[in-house]
Amino acid sequence: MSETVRPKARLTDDGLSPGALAWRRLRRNRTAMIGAVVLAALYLLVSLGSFVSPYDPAARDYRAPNMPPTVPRFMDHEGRFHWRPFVYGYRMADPVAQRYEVDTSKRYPIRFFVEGYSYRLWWIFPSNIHLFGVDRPGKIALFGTDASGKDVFSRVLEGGKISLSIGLVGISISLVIGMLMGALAGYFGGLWDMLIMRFVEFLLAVPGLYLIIALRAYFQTQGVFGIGGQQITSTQMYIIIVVILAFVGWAGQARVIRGMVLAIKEQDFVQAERALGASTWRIITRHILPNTLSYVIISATIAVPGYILGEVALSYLGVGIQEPQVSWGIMLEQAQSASTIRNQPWLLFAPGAFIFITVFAFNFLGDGLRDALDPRHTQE
Amino acid sequence: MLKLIVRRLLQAIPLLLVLSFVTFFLIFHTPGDFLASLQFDPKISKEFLEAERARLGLDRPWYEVWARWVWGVVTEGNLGHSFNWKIPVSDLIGSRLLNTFILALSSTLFAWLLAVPLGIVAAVRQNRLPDRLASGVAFLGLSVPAVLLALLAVYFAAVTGAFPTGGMTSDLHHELPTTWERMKDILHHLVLPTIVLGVGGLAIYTRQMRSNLLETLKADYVRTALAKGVSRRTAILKHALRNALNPMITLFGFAFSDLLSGAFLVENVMAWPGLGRLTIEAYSQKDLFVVAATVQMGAVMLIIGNLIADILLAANDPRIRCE
Repeated sequence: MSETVRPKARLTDDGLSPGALAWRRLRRNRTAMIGAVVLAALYLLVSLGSFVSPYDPAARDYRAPNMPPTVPRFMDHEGRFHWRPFVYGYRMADPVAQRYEVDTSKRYPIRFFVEGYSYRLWWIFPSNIHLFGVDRPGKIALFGTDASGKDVFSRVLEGGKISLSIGLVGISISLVIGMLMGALAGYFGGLWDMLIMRFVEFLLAVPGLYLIIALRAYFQTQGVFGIGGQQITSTQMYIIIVVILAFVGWAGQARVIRGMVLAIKEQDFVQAERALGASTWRIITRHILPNTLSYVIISATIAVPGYILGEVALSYLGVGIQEPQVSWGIMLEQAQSASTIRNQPWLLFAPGAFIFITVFAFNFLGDGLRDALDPRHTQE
Repeated sequence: MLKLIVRRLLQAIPLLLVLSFVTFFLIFHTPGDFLASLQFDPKISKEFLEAERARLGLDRPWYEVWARWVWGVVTEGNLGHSFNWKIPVSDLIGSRLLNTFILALSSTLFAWLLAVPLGIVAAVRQNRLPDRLASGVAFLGLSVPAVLLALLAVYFAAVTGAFPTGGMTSDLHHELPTTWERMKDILHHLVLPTIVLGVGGLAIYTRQMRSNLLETLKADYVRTALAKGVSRRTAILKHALRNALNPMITLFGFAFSDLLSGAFLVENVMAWPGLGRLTIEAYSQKDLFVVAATVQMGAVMLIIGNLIADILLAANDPRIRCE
């Protein structure tokens, strides 16, 4: 209340840096902010995954294969209201068809901050406290279980660690390559330009998935930079997939950045800097590349879903993340048969919804960023 | 025009050469070959395997196999023999290519025929309900991954039973009495893959169509037309629309590459017997020449798609000259 009263709308934009102006435009964009909030929530949820998930994502439970989702309830079957939410158990009605019936004979109240399997939060803090759980022999599987009884909710959170981080790591690598190559080609021209641009055209002319799959097979056996070979650990597989996606992805960015660099290097401030005796490295990194930054931020946000979907496509086709590791792509792969989709739709919808929401949020945010950082591009 | 076509085709030659070189290199440097799965079979002798390997030409160094293959393609148009199917690769690819083409064509038609009217409605009723709806649908279409959409389509088919869950023909296809019945069978199988593959393009075209038309509606000649008494309907459909369609054609080339990647996934999820599915099948069986030929075919289709887009653009707009 004691804050100074500010005029609601400024008449001019004087005194605000372009960055502050862009930030203001972004904050006024409702859809972009929704996207940003959803993404923040998703990344937070997944980074706290081990704490939030009630079961070890790799733990099998042969008593409950293909169990449908358990719904938290407040009302019991006799219509009585309970303050503490609870779940009912399932009874296997038909072990052959794996059909379940809700068993209303016993309520399992949901307890919070319960002890469960041990984990290390962010690889550092050892703990065995979980956000929620129910007493045995009750089971709370918010998104059901898969064919070997693993909790799908826990697996979605665990898989998100791979799926969500692959987008960020992949785009970082490909942006570094793209900026470097684009700047080299645009600034030096001549032979550099020719070589880099021919290579870029080659990458753009080959249908992406064919190239990705071919590269993937090569990494498997040969090993590049000491990675790969016959025995691939899960970490190495992760790196291989990221590197492949980035390797195929940088070409488009390099081409645009080269075009921008060609225009920027002719401008007076670059000439002035050169006249002052600045080194080429300094000119490129301090003066030319910062001017491409708004494009870089926009294209990065828009490209992240491409990497997430790249992992999904690779894992779906069986050449990406392998069991026992879990990612959203491999969860889709396990739900691919028509009979699974019909009888256990939660195996498709749980990872599917998370993929969809993530891509949607990135697109929202990317659209808003483009409007905020590049007002000329604003539609209509 | 002719110069452009000739130059593009000449540029494509080194590209295709390099691509085939890379393909052969990669396949030969992955573990095992086509016969690897047989070597643990006790009924098959080592000598027989060696003889087979020599017969298929797999005992030679990879660059020699590559050079022979390229030579055969260039001089005789011979794409080699499929190890697995034991027929010439060209026969195998021909039918698969046709299937992919049918799928691509139908989904392109689906996207364009829906996107243009949607875009027009959205632009004419800017910021009102139809526009909001069209933009929302377009945004949704851009955000749904092809794999997921294909799986949802399979779910829809499995639950409702209104459409087949996959494949191109039903089991009894060849016993259907008339050609018309067989056509209907294929069309029935075509519906879901067409929608799944077309939705992405639909979204892009709708957005582009909307912003193009909004741009041209502001132009002086539209105002002039309205001022001289042309009805709003005619001004939009005859004057603005034609100019707004122009930039759409550039999109075609880009969309073609998306269509190929998309078809790759959709074919694999929905068991459509096209080029993408053949590639994965041949790839897992190490059917060398089939993989090489399908990869080449993918690149050729991409090059032709871009070329057609350029030609259409030049033909449609006399101001654009073919460099």
